[in-house]
This record gives sequence, structure tokens and C-alpha cells, in this order.
Amino acid sequence: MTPVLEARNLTVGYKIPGGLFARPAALPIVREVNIALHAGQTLGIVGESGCGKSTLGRALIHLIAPLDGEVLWQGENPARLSPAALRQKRAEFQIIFQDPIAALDPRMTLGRILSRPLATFEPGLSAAQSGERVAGALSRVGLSADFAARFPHELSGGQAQRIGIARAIIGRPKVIICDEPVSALDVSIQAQVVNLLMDLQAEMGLALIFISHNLAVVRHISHEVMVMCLGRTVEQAPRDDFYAHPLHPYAAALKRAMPEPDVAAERLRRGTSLPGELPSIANPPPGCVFSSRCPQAQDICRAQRPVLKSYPGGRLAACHFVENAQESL
Amino acid sequence: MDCETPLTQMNANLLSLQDLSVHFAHGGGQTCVVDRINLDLAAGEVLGIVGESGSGKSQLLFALMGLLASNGRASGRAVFDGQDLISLRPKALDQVRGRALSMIFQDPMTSLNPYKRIGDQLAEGLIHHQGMGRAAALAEASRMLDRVRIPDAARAARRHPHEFSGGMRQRVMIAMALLVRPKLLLADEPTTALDVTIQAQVLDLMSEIARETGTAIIFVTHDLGVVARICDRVAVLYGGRIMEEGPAEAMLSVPAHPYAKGLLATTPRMEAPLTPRLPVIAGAPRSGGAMLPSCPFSPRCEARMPACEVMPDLRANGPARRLACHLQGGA
Repeated sequence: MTPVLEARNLTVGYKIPGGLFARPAALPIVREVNIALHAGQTLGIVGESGCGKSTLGRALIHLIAPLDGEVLWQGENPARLSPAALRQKRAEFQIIFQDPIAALDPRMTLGRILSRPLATFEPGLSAAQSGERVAGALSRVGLSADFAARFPHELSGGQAQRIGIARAIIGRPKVIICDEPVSALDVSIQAQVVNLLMDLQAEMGLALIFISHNLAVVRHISHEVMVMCLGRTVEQAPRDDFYAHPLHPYAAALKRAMPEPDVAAERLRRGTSLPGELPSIANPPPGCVFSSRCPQAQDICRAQRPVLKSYPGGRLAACHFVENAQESL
Repeated sequence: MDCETPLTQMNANLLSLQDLSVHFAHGGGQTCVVDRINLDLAAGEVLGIVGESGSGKSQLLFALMGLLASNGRASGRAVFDGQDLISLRPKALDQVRGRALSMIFQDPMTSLNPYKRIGDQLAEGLIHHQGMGRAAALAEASRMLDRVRIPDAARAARRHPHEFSGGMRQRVMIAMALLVRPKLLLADEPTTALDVTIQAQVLDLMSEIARETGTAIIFVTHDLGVVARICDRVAVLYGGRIMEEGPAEAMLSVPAHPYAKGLLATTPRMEAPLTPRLPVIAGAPRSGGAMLPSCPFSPRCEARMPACEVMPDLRANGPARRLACHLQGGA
């Protein structure tokens, strides 16, 4: 079966304009990422600031064109579609954002915000049909039809994120990129939104890319987890295997750093924090991207970048010392 | 504690909040955001205050520091080191803030002056509050930067805030707060804006400092995991009131209040067995409004009963624990 969303050797970056003495250059942010996502599946993408996870998310729905490699939507490269066909196809590849209120136009009613995608993707719809679809989308995200008359400033964070989700599903998408969708929400509201996404996935067969820095939330929603560090995939694995024992030392460090509400477990983790700063993507360390902070780094790690290798159970990891990393856990 | 007791006899605790309330006046009305909080803190203790948006957790700290917005007013008492912070005149409060009480905030960038070198900003407090000479204050500042593990502290002191990463800036804020050798450090979500591995570093640093210097910390957070990592004790706030309070270990393993239980259940975890759906607390956190006679959590509470129309008192519930719920002994 063709994956609904694929990335092949995808490298994405931003162009830096030239100056008096500098040529314009391209700064790659995400390098050589491979993804194959099937309907009904969720890939969790985890990493810290500047690891390229949001850039990757935007590239996957063709908001940024790749520098190299390609994105495939059901086997089709969006970069090769005509502008009209691309616009049509966008209905199926949607995104929701971290700050749910900033993502809504403050001057539009929610009804208008929700009907905008319909006007673009299905211009043939009558006003009545469009109104029905808006009411349907609202009810699907657990909001009453009278929300259509309200404005974004009247919403709580959780309600605003529900509107963001309603806007994403109204065009009957196949894929939704969720870029830190619950990070700005209260804990009790986070769970409601995660459950809603999982319900919609079950109902509509959605494929989700769930981008987050929170490994605990990612565990609940993902079938597969990918850890990024400085623009590269350092580990990718099925969920349960990953949480049982991450192979890459960076993934293990992330897991150890996440505080859990368990005092006995946390006592053991006190004083185990990884020293050092997150390196800058503009100036990555030579060799392995994690070598400047890795407690197990050897000379080879600082000289030679480890390639992403396969391990049993459909796992991938990029480390010269995977075996050691596993033992040291 | 009886309000007639002379202040000087109250130093068994470093801080004692007695019926502390915070109100905001607006357009003829009043909003109560902190409602009659009673809470004690021992010297050297790390207390977590946990709550969601609108629980009043930050305003509680602002009230102690005298930093409420101009339409805010604190009432009740906050006896710190023998003095009631709430009734202190601004000048006297400034003395306390310069000598014994410090605060750090969620966003370190907005707390630092972008135009001034880090070292000068740190030295300012020592010069202003303790009358130290500039050279001595600068030396002390770079010693403290070194203490919070800023590499090459002497050079770092000559840099400006924008040259530091978020984690480094928060270390600078911690260094600034510690310079006056406070007895109590108020921390308002100090690690929320940081990356996970950097948060772990800052939490380690704060525990270490609490242990080594005997500084007590009130750590305001929405994250029960952070509580487990750093706090000795925790108070759970909802709608401006303490719902439950006790030792962190007991509270996180067997919470008694329906809200504390719900909060723990709804927090996603990496080690617990997976459930098909995350447990939820229905509804949304309460935001503002007039002071209610009822339990503020009752509209969302599954164990709600007629008695909840009246807010229960915070009563002893097992060893060193207190609970404000009509289901005494726990839901």
C-alpha cells in the first residue's frame, strides 16, 4: 500500500540573502529525513528547540519547498502539481498549530473561519451546505453550533484548539500535521485535545504527524516515534520498543530529563541532567550531532557522523555505540 | 495561628500565610484570585504550588513580593522572618526584598535589561541594597555566575542578555536572586519556557542550592513531574483556594482531593500502563469571577454533592496532610 505521506531523503532549509561580500546561501535545517506514514497511523516527532521539527512539519505539507529529496502525497510530489491541483490537494494535508488563538483571525467569526477552507476547496457548495458542514465540524470537535457566531477572543485555549482542529478536518483531510498542539494548554485540557485527535483518527482514518517536546504526550498518541537532534533523525522506532529502551544516547537523555509525577523514580533522576548547551544548527559540531553533549562520546563520534542503521524490530538509530548506549540504561 | 500572637513568637516557620487573599478591582466589581490561604513554610523547605491557569498561583507570589498590579490588593497576613509582608511599607518591604526574599520568573529575557551588561545588572542589587562598592559587587557577581555554572563567568559578566541562551539567562536570574543570600526564593514557573534537558539542569541546580545554602523555595508550577523532582511538599490550588496540601511523595502516590486525583490521572506518563484514552477532567479551569461560597472545583467534580455549595475548611487529613473536601478522608 502506498503511504499516504512520504519523505524521501528530505533536506529542508532557508535561504540566507547575500550581502556585499557574501553570496546568498542555503542553510539546511532538516537533513536527509525519511518518513513513510500510513492511514490511521501517528508518527510522533520529538526534539528540543532548533532541532528542525517544525520546519519538517511545514515541509511535509509543502509550505516550504525542499532543498533536496522529495515529499510524496499518496505517491505524488506536490512540487510537481499545477497551482490549481495543489490548491485542491491541500484539503487533504492540513496543519494545526501550538498557539491556537494566534492561529485564528481575530476579526472573523468562527463560522467564517471554518467556511473559508470550504470556499477554497469546494467552491461549488451552496451557503446552506457550507453551513451544514460547519455545524458538523463543530459538533465533531465537541462544540455546539452556536459557536459559529462567536469570535476567537471569546474562546478559552482549549476551545480555540478545537476550532483549529475543526478547520483542519472540515475539508476531509487524510493527514494532519499537529505542531505542538497541546503545549500551550492546561494539563486537564491537554488530555481532552489528545483524546479528541485520537477519536478523529479512529473515525476518519486520519494519519497524524504529532510534533512535540513532551515525550509523555507523544507516547499516548503515537504508533511510531522519531527523535530529531539538530536537523537529523537520530532514532526512529515503534512506540513500545522505543519507550522500553531507547537506543540512542540522546533519546535516552531526553527520556531521563522528562520529569514524571513519581517521587521515588524522580529521586533517582536528581543530579543526572546532561551538561552543556543545545548546539546551534548554524554551527553543528563535527561528527555526530550529539557528540558535544553525549556522555559516551569517543574520538570517532567527534570525527565521523554515524549513519542511521537498522536494528531488529524495525528500529533505526544513528550512533557508533548503540550497544553501549543500551547497556548503560 | 491566632492573630493576637505577637509576631516575634512566630519564627518556628520561615513563612506563615494567614488568611492571605488577593482581590482585583475592576469596573466597580471585584475579582478574588487568591482566597484565604493558610500555609506554613519551614526554613530550607522546597514547597511546590501546583495549579492550572487562573488558580491564583502566580498572584500569590506577586502578593508576597509586593508586585501586584495597581488594581490588586492583598489582605490577611504573610509573616516572613517575623515581619508581615502584606502590611509593610514599600521602603521596609524593599529592605526585605534586598536581603532575604528574591523571585525568579518564567521568562528570563523579559526580566533582564537588554541594554545592560549581565555583571552590572547583578551588581546593582548589591550596590543598592547592601551598599557594596562597584568593584566588590562585580567580583561577587562573577563568583555567583560561576556558582550557577555559567562557563567563563568573568567574561560572561561583560556580555549582554541577548548573547545568552534561554537556559543561561535563567541561570543568570537564579544567580541574581541568590546574590542577596535570600532565606526564601520565590520561583514562578522558572523552567516552563526551557527545553527538557535544560529544564533538568536548572532543576538540579536549584535543588543543589536549596540543599547547600538552606534557602527555602516556593516553586510555582503546573507540572506534577517537576514537583516530584524538586519539591518536599506540595499544595494544590484551584480557583484561588488550597484543595489539598502535604508531603510530595504521599500526595503524588495517594492524592485525596478529587481535583488532585484528576490532575494526577490526566498527566501523561512514560512509565505507567497505557490506556486507550487519557483520563480527563471535564470542563475548563475557572477564570476569575466573584468569590463564591461553594467549592470552586464543584462544577467539574464527579463526586459533587449538595454539601459542596459551601466551601469546606482545609482540615488535617493523615500525617502532615490537609484536605479541603467534604469527602473527608478522600474521594
